[in-house]
Amino acid sequence: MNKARVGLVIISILILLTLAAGFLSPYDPIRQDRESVLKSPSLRHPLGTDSLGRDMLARLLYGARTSLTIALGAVIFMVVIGLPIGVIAGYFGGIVDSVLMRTADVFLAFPFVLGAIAVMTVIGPGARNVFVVLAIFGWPQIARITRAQVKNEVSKDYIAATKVVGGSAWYILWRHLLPNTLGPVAVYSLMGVGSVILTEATLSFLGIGVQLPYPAWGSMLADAVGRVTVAPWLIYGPGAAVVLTCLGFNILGEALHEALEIKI
Amino acid sequence: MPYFTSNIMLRFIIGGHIKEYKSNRAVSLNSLLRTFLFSLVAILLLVSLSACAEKSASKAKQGGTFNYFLGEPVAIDPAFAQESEGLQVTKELFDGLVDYDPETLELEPAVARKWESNSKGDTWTFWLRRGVKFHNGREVTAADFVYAWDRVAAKKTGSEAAYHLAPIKGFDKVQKGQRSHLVGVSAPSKYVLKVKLNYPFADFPTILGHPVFSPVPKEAVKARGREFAERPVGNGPFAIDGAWEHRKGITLKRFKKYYGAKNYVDAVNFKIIDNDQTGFLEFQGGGLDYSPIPSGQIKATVKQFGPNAIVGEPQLGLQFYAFNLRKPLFRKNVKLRQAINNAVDRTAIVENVYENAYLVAGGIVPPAVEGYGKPAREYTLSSSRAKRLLKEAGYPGGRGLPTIKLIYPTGRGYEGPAQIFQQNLKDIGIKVDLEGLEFGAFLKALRAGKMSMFAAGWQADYPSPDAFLYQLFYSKSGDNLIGFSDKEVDRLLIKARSAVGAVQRRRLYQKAENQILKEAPIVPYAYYGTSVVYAKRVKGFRRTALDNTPLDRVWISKD
Repeated sequence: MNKARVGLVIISILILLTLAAGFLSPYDPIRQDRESVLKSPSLRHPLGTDSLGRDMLARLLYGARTSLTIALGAVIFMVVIGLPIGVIAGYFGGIVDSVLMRTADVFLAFPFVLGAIAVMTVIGPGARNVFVVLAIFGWPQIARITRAQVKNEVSKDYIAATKVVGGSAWYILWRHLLPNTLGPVAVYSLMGVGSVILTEATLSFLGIGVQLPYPAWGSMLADAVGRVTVAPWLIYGPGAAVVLTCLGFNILGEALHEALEIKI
Repeated sequence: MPYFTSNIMLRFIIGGHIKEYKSNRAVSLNSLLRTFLFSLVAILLLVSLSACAEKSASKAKQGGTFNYFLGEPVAIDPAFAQESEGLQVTKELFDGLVDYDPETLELEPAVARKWESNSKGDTWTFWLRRGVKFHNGREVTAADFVYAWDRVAAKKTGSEAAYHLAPIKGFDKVQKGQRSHLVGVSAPSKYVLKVKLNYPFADFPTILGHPVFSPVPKEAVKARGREFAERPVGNGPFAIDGAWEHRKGITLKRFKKYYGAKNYVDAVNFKIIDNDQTGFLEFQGGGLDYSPIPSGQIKATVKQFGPNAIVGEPQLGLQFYAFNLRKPLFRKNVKLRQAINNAVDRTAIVENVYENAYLVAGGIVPPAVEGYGKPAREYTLSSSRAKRLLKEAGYPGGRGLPTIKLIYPTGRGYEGPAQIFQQNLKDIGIKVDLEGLEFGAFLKALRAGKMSMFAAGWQADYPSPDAFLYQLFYSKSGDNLIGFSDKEVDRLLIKARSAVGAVQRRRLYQKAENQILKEAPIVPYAYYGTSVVYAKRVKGFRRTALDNTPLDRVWISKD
């Protein structure tokens, strides 16, 4: 089995599980049950229960929904902001390029997680703000990659030829440059999903991401870390989920990368 | 030096002294008998303890570094220290007039060797010990207290803890900036401090154990300016080594010229860690000698560390949710506040989250406050009562009530109780959103009065019901952060302070507590119990009921 398939299989399974969350687990992920606190895995609760008696499987599956939605959403948002900026900067060059890229540098100057924490402290915690923060700190990377690719294309003969036959800037951007940059951007975005999921988990782990009692892998891990000696099962589910998801997206990204290189 | 012996001797001396100033109280046969029996038991204890103490003290070693887990303090300058973290450090750096016995919390002399009031109880005289030194080598005199108290009260200082000085004559004028000196405080001689109060206050010496009353050396405050807050010069058993490294650590070194009992460890290294969990993991890894046990891991820790885990000793502390009474939704609706109070399953919180190391709290003053007893009114779980009150409040089944946002500081164990609370309220139809804030941001929002409902933990600053009722609910108290203001409660609290007899005073405090609970400005749910653990190499460790570890008493064995 080649890489692309492995990645695709992992991600498809994940998405299927997420969609079928309600069907796979009969429990409400936020409903507490005082009678079954910290129960180890059993037939009734395949992944056990947490300290407030909530079913871990249910929390994991609904948590996946949150994590994936935030990650995919944030990446799309990054591309929507980053791609046009990158294309414009790369094509026009000069002062436009400088202004846009220095702006991107400002955002890149912050370590991703630290910057995210700082902004979250100001705008407040919550899933929606996680999404905003990830987009704010993620777009410059996309813009840079796009710009580099565009710069590379612009110097090629066919662009000069198009200019000679009277192709407008808009036409060149839309018909030639944009399609040619999509490959690298797609590769980066796929790999980005993995790191975005990690960052979301970090923020939720610190308690400033997705707010309790709504499940998120990060906050589930935060709860599990302290109880690892008493209830080790708390860490298996969310831990494995984060690892597998990141792995899935990275493998897929890499496969795409290889595939595109062959083509180019 | 048999440490315990000298300590108990001290207590005997004060015992006599306390009787002196309480002599105007009626002495019953019963109390005489009790005093006699107490003395008898105490003498027996003294004899047996000194035997033990001899044994353990002979092993007590000088040296070593104590690594202490601490959250980032708000301040370590005594004028500004206000929360457990800041007070822990300040209490090592400074010694006030009095201190509390770590076991019994009885008042014991510190810089003051004795004190006395006039018969009315509104003028107090303190005789200071000679030879008490500041860390810069200069002797502490009464004038240093006068300077320190003026400094705390001054408007331009802007101390949030200044309200502790409110009973002192002239406080209002200094606080408003009209004067620079408290007329009520004077130093008739080098070693005598005289304090005149606005009203008779029989327990005045009790509140003086708060670090806000510590002496500070004027020359160091002037010379260091703003930096004094980072590198204070005190007179306590330990002096600061370098400066406070924010979010990293504070190092103290043994003060060799300390007047009190021998302090054993050479250095105390306060490692500042922002998360209970992280700190506890570091403790388990051997990097720390002391750590609080995070909620949910108490039983496992007891299993692992045996007697080194100190669990379930009653503390003078309360955990509660507070309504911000400045917000119209809560201010106008006492029935809503009562309904919420009746909806909370306190037992679930104490059992599930705190593994019974804490006590269920339906009232305000913890039962561990000496001689206080139970409040007349306590809130317990009753869904039917909660639903009825909610209906009377105008929100039958929660209809028409906006979502309530409960804010808590993250990483400090508030997550579990908050989620149970949320579920409890959902059960009667009230929707609650939870929001976690990083501790610094939380404190800022708290002082700004922005949050409509928040989680809070309150540790008494001194062993008295006053430390809960007056500090949290007196309308002019600096720690009354919920905007509670009730004339009757104010009157009762001042009357209680002025009451001379202990029984009468207790009755007045109980009356005030009852009145406050009727107004339901907070949702109390747990009284703190200890849940801390210390390393095997540490000896003489003691956690007081005031949530504090007196570090002059610990020593470190080589093994």
